[in-house]
Amino acid sequence: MGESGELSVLRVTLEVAFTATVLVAPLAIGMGWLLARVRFPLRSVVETLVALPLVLPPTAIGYLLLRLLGRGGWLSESVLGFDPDLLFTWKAAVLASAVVSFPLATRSARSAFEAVEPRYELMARSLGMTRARVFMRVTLPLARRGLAAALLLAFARALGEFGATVIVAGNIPGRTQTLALAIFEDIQLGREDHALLWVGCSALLAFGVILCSERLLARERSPA
Amino acid sequence: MIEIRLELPLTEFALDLSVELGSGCTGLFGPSGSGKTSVLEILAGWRKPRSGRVRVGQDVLFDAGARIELRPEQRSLGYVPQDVLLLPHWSVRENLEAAGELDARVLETFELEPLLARGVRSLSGGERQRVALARALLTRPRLLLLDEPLTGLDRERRRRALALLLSVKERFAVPMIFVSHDATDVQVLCDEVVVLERGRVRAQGAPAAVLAAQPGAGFENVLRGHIASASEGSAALELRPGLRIEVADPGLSSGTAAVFALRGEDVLVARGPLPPISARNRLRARVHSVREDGGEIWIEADCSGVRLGARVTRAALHELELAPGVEVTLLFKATSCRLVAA
Repeated sequence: MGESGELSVLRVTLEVAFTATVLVAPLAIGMGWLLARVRFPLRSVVETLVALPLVLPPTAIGYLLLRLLGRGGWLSESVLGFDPDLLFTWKAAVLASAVVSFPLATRSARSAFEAVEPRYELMARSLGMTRARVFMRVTLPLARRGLAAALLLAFARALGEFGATVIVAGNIPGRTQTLALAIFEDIQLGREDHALLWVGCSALLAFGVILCSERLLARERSPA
Repeated sequence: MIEIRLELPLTEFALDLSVELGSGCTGLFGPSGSGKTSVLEILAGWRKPRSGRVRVGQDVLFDAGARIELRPEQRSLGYVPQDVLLLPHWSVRENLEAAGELDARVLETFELEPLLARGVRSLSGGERQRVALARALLTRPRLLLLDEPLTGLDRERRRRALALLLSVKERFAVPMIFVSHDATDVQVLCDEVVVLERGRVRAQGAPAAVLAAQPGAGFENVLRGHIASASEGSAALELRPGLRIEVADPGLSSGTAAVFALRGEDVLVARGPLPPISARNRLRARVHSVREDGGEIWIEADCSGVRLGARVTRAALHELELAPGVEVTLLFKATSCRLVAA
């Protein structure tokens, strides 16, 4: 594999992970807030469903996504009336990464919201702010570090995603081949040194992201 | 007129009260854990009672029967909880502006101009109290709820904060509910008091009369005067022309109007010539009335047109032959007097 191939692996990996994180962010923040602040019926069922992708084999998630996007699936051309053109594209890789990182981001976001003293929100309401305004001006800013850490974790998880991605996006160099897929391919083809290089690269990226996340959480725990 | 009828089970007892309050300053008095804070949180809309009705003036804030429940942001109540809850990620200015437009009169009353740019985490306890009170007033509240605003302050800060509350009461004329477990503060500040015990109203009425009946709570003597002269460590407070009392370390300058509070049990009653004694205040008086009050004797005496009360035992009553018309000397220490600027 040439220089441009290696660069493309890194580019695809970062693009997929970043886009998946952007996609997950509003959903995880919304769900995290809901679970932290709102009591509703069947809450524990929702909590379990949210956590499910965390424990299901990624290949199972990949297979379910394949059924969803494949012929006759809910997101297929025959149902939607147009071709969403997702299968075996980088968009499918994004979707797979988003699904597996969603529970991690949601759980961390929920902890971030739970760490915000609810009495600050009540006080803001007594000052005349609506719930939506309180969320934007009080809850989000007070939870910002925990939320940033949650999204970094989601990003880190997306960087390493393999099982679901390989099933729905394939392993197409320059299009859907991410670091995890490149390592798999190199091992299969006996390119041990090259695989080791990618492993080192992955470890370095993951280390940097997790370190940032931990530092944010440590600052969240200590009074600013 | 404020109507409060509430029922809410708490951990150790049930809150169950029904009171009507005037539009001045009402003290909600009682020991820790008697449900005072829960009442304020219900009024503010932070907690929902199981049943009841809350009305301030003509506005119903909550009525379980009529299914009315205004949200906290719709209630227009200025709430200062015990932990003040200044929003920690904002500056003083941002905290104030969240409540409403900055008002020069409020900024001046609370001396906030120099603090506006500061972050709230850098403020001292007294400064936080001032910002929180100002913030509550900037919401233009129909009712101010103050939860133990003087707790945790040292003596000097406490004295200043009480003086500030008195000036808020006079300058802004907002109805207030003032939660406290300090009888002096209630007597100095409040027009009426509701005594709460384990979630129920035990007494309601004028502070002097109601608090005098509370064991250990009564500062039965509350009088107004002005500082006639002040020197280091003490000051002379003039209650009437010619009637001055000495007060230890009030921290008030000459000419300041002040409220004076003294417990009946801190007043000694003597007859005949006095031996040398450390009490700085020795006032000639004539007994006006003698009555029994919970196994003790409550004596009121006229002193140059000012009436002071003293609590004595039955044995002392008989030994001194105290009766209306008898001439006595009332003695109390300068350090027994509580004084705040009015």
